[in-house]
Amino acid sequence: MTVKEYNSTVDQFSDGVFRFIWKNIRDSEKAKDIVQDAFIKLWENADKIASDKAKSYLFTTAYRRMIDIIRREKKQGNWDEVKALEYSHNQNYSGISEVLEEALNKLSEIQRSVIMLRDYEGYNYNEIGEITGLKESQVKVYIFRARKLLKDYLVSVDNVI
Amino acid sequence: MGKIGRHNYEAYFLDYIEGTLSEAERMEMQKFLIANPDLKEELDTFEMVELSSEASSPIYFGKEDLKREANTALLESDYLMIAEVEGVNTKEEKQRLSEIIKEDQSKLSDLAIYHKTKLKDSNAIVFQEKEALKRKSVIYLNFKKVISYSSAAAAIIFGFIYFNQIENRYTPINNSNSIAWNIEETVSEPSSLFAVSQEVETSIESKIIEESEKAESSEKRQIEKIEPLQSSKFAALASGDYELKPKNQDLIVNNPIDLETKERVFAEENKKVDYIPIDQYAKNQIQDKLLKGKSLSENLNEGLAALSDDKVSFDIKTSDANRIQKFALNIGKFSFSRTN
Repeated sequence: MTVKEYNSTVDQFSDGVFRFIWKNIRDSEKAKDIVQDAFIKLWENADKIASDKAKSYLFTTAYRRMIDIIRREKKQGNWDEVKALEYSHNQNYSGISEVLEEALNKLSEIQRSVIMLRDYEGYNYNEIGEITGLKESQVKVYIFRARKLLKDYLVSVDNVI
Repeated sequence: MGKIGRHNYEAYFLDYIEGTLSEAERMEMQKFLIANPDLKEELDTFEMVELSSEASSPIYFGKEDLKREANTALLESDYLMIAEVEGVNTKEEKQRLSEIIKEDQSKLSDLAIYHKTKLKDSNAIVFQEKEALKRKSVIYLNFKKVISYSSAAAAIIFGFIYFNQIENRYTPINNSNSIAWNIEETVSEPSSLFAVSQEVETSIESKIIEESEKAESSEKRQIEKIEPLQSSKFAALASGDYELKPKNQDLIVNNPIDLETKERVFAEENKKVDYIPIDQYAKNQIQDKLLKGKSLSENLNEGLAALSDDKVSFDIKTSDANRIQKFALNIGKFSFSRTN
């Protein structure tokens, strides 16, 4: 990968990687750190990675780094506290997007990750499996169950409103 | 069971329907019904509600709806609707989903809600520090190569300037009508060198005087200044009895008026001086030490190939009017471009 291709990768994928991480952990500073780490690793291995594989490499690296951070913070007890605040129910919805964002927070980390990779980035089950380290069949199960939960949440909110 | 009466006739009726009454009890029950005709209708009702064996094994038509998909453990209808949203339903699964929706129209709204679970791309979230992640092209130079190429370039520039701008020392070619002489001449154009060489062929006498004056101030080329010959010496010289000897013993003049001989000797004297014109010296140095016997273009090609990993391309983008809009020179990992 040349410098030009690397810089083009920054333009194309940094937003997507940042959004993916931020929506999972809801912490801008940590998300920035993870994105920067991912791009540093990409640069360090630029001579081994073809430009068409850069996106997958970035998401894989960022996802694994994120999981490490989540696990570490869970051990330290920070995560549950943060989640409790973030998951507090918000009934002042103005549209389906907000409800869906709220519903997304109800999902488990892995469900949220796979469905975001599917919907935002358009990856197929196999590609998502490579990024998350899951089998293709497992990815499918997580996505189907996540959609069921999202649908149930949309229905329940609809009933409340 | 006791004698049949209005307080216990239901037990008799049940046993009668089930066929467990004895003959005596049945006769007794018949007499009771004649005496109580209103209960005869009740007995008939009892007979009507007797459940058949078929009626006792009802069929549930919604079995399929309760079944779960093997992998996801979702209800079949949910699985098929999500698979539809995901775009992974087979033809048969689509057909099955269609049947389910036909049977239960409420499933259509469920399908619509499932479609809403698709996350929409949000451009509101952007990474603000892209520029900090970008890298600039850095040329990692080989120090030896840098020194080598820099020296070559410096020598070439020096030689070029020397040819064009500074005083040039040269030796005109001797011919029958003129003498070879070292002079200093200032030239401005290389092409005028030969023209100047013709112009500088001046009279022999003036050159002898001029050179003699120079020789006096020069240690290297100091020659014996020819002293004016005294009449007695001249006479002796003319007769061949006197030999004029310069101090350095190199210049021997047998005949003071034999200027041609003197000039020739002087030219030979100059040839003995270890002198190489500076431009020739520079060329030799460049050729031997920097270019290593190869031509400049060969060296440049090799250097360029080493820098570019043999990947050099030149791209031009032109407009409809065939005007150059953009061009780029790509050398390995480096790209030099310009947009007009």
